[in-house]
Amino acid sequence: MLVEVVKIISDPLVVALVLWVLGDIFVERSGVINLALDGIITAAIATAFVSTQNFGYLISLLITVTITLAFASLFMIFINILHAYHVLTGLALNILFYGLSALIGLRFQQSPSITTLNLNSLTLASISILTVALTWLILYKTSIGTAIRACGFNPRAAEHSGVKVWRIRFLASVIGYIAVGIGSYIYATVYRGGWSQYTGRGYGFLAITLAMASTWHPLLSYPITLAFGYLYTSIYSLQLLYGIPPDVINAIPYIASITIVTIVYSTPLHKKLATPRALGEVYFREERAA
Amino acid sequence: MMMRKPFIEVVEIYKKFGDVIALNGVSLEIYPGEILAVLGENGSGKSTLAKILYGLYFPDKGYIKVDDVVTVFSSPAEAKNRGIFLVSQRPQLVDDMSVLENVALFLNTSPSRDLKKKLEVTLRDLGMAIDVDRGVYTLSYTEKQFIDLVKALITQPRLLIVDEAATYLPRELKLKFLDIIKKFAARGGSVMYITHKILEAIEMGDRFIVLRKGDVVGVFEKGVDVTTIRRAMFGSEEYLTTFKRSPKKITHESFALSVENLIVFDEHGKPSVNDVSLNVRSGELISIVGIAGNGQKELGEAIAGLRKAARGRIMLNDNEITHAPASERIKKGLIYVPEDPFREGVAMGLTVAENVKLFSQSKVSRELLDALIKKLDVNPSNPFINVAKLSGGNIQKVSLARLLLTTPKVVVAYSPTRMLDERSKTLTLSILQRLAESGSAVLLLSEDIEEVLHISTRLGVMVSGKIVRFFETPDLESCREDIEKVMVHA
Amino acid sequence: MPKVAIVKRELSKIATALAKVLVILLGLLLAATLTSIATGNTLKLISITLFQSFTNLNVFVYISTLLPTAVGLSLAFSANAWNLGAEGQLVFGAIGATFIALFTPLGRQEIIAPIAALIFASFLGALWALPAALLKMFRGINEALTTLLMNFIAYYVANYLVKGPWRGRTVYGYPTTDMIPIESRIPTAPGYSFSWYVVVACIAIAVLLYLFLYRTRVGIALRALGSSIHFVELSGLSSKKLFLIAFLISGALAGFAGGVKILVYHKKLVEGPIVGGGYGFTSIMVSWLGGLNPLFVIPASYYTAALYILSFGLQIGSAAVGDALSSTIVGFLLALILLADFLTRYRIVIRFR
Repeated sequence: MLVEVVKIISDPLVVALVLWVLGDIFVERSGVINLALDGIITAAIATAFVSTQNFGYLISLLITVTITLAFASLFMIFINILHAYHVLTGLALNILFYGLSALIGLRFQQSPSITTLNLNSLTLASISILTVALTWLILYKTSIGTAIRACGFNPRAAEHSGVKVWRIRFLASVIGYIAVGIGSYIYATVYRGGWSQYTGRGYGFLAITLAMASTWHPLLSYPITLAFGYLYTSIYSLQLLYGIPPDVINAIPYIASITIVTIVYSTPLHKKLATPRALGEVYFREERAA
Repeated sequence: MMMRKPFIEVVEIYKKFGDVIALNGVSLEIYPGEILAVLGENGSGKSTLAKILYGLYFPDKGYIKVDDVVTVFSSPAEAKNRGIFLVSQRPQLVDDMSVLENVALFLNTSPSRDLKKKLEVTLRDLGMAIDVDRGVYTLSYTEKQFIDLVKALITQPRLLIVDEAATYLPRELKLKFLDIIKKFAARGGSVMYITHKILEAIEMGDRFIVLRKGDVVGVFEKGVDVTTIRRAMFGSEEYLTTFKRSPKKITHESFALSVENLIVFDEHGKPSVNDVSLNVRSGELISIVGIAGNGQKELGEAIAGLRKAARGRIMLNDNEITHAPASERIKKGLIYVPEDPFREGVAMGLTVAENVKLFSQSKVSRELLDALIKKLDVNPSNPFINVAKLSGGNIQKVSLARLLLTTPKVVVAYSPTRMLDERSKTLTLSILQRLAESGSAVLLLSEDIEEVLHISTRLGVMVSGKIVRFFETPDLESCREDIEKVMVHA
Repeated sequence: MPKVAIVKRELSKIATALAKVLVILLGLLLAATLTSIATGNTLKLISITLFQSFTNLNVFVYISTLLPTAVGLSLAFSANAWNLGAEGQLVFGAIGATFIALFTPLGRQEIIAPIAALIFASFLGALWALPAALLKMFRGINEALTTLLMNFIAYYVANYLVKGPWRGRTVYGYPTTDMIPIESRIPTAPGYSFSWYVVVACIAIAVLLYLFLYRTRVGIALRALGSSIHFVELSGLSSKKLFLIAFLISGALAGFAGGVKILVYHKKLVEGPIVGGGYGFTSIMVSWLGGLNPLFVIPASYYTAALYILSFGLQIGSAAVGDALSSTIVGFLLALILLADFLTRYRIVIRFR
């Protein structure tokens, strides 16, 4: 049992997923539906792969995080300045980022694979546990975190208290997407070690669902992501053991996500936890109100 | 005092929403230690002015001069940095966070232990016993309003804008609130005191400015009389606000609407309506009044079906409707008039005609549409423009069209006149009264004692979700003090 | 320091439409220039390709899919029902049409077969939309996310069918079903792979839904739902029922489009991602480009269809690069629509004092 747990905690795919989920929590806690995450992850993975191939591991990490932040900023411009619907922006930018990811990968890749980066279990486990703790600390114990959560609860009241909502949402996305960038880097260099067109597509939506299932609480998101990671990494052995068709196996993560969300939302638990009520609301300061 | 330099000068501020001019070149100045009372009807532009001074709205033209620096604020954060703060009628706190977190948010610090101590001391000094770790949603309206004021005072602001924040508080609480503001001014702070109540303004103000339809129409010094201000506010027009209560000639013995032991929870699981029972006969107009946040709104919404009844029964003409959806109740002849016209009264994306069409189960002819618009005095009268283009007051009038399409069996209205100027207010109340006369059972829920005092046949006072007492006399005006006392002390 | 603020503006409907068209044309120009730089082709060649894309009758192939789906979605979005699952609903429509055509006796009845297939396709499309609608109505779970996930599940269901129980006897290991009987196919225009019947039907659907949305009380109420749920309830209409109606109609129309794809284009069921082809996602933007008005969705779907043809014209050299490039350009143009939306509804005020 313990061995299993250690294995999951230090599984590079699970670590990447944890970072993606936490990054998403930052963004969505500030009230922004983060659908662009999927495209940005796809592009970040491509970037991490080709820059590792060209410049080595360390510089690649810097480049990956920088590019991730650049893409996130584009997303935030649409949300905060153009006041676009979050869902539409996410979908449109995803298509753009998928395309860009392939262009980046195809243009700069030298060969289809790289030597994976060897990180020991302890390092990997520490990365995710530290990020969980840090996320919780920032969100619940600092002034920035208070402002981020306020924007997710009620941007109007937050603005009235002197918070610049657009700036806080930008800031939340910067913090969140640093985690997303590192997660994508780990996925590309530690876990996958290879790239083909659109590698990583779909994980963003998974992360968004897991964040929702954990009611956007960082401490709750960790066990939920681990449980999911266990399911996800063990289903392939199910396939081998029982001969379940691969397409059925592939559908399980999505069915499981919907099931987890449904279960969480059917219990009184989610009512106790303060969820970002204003999630997805296009916030316009001069909106008329009684 | 006039020899000193003003703290703030407002110069030729102009602001337009769609086709509605909200402020048409307004200028004024406020000196340190002065309370400037800004008067005007609803829709005269006074709240817009407050929001511009606090950086919530960006002016189209004009500027502000603070400490000799010419500027305009593009966010409340900027205004706050200049020492300006706005306390508005609805407390602007984040309900889902604790009092401490809200204050930390405002002070831009982390919710630390030091802050907690400081805040507890401040609250104790003001004689308020509030656990600062409590979620704001557990506070009453008045507690929230005071917290909003206190958190501003902690920062030692230089200009406090008070936008109708005390208008609907009963006398006793109001005095406490106003006292804090007066002390603030006495220590050299500037105050912009916005209200539509002349007596209140005269009591508070050192100087007076009257707005009408976005223009400054009068500037007065201390000692001005009520008539002068009234003339400036309303121009040559005079409105009769006295209502004759129709003598009770209730023909029906049975109740059109009856509520039995109703319990309703708010979003946070707190009982906001706690064991309320009341009956309304056809032809009766009954009011329930209370300080904001004491459950009137939730009671109205529960009767309308917008909110779940946790326990108790709601009967419409002896049919139980406790769990019927809102749409079902409307079809059965229970019409609800909501307070917020923008979010509930109309659909902002549709035209006036489309909105009216939705109110009616049957077809609405062009003639009927024009007649309604005329009767309600909606301006502009073109039914094919988007409601979003109308002013707040006119949007509320469109929302009232729902009352004129049928003869409803029961009408429930919650603060229907809060957005309206005197003339429309009178119109609305007379519509409600006429409905009662023609046999509807009318229940008027309110936070404003003025709104209900003159037209009800019976008046209940609501405190903490309970109706604590009913008043029933032909002359409710004479019970005013008693009523206010009950509102404050359950 | 200059002060910047964003305020609302009210443009007339004509000015709004013109502004959008202008931004879109500019976008095309920009895209053409970028492509010419990226691929090394002259701008003239790209412009010719562009012109040909817009005059190619093959646009109707794409319109037949995009138009019904996008019209349905504009209904849903008007009602604030964020159905992002059109892709999956389309795939389920395709499964439904294939089922009727291949596995029921109806499949061999002339005229009846395509009609029955389309009805069942619409039914399955609506059915695939149903769980998300119910979860939203009774559990308050964000429908955008659930519908999004349902798309992937639909892909895998189709994949499972064509690789497993429905795999054709005559397809030599390819993951498809057998061809559907001639009787159940819808006759295509000679030399093209679209059907005039379908095109006419799609336009008729758009006109009908326009009349529904703008002329009937229920339709107006659906649009009101986008502004306020409470308002709709207080007008005596059930917001839940309306939400469900909007969701199911959009699902049914996506299913219809999926059925059309089988009966006219593929003539057999293929793997999920191929049937869907991303049209369900693109339709979301088409409906937005059309301002959620079914009548304007007609030109919007034409424009988008032309873009598809353009992107194939651009796939010179490697198919992988072509696909990546066209995805980038489509994404870029979609983002431009959002920009146009901003420009028509807001303006930026910069003041230096």
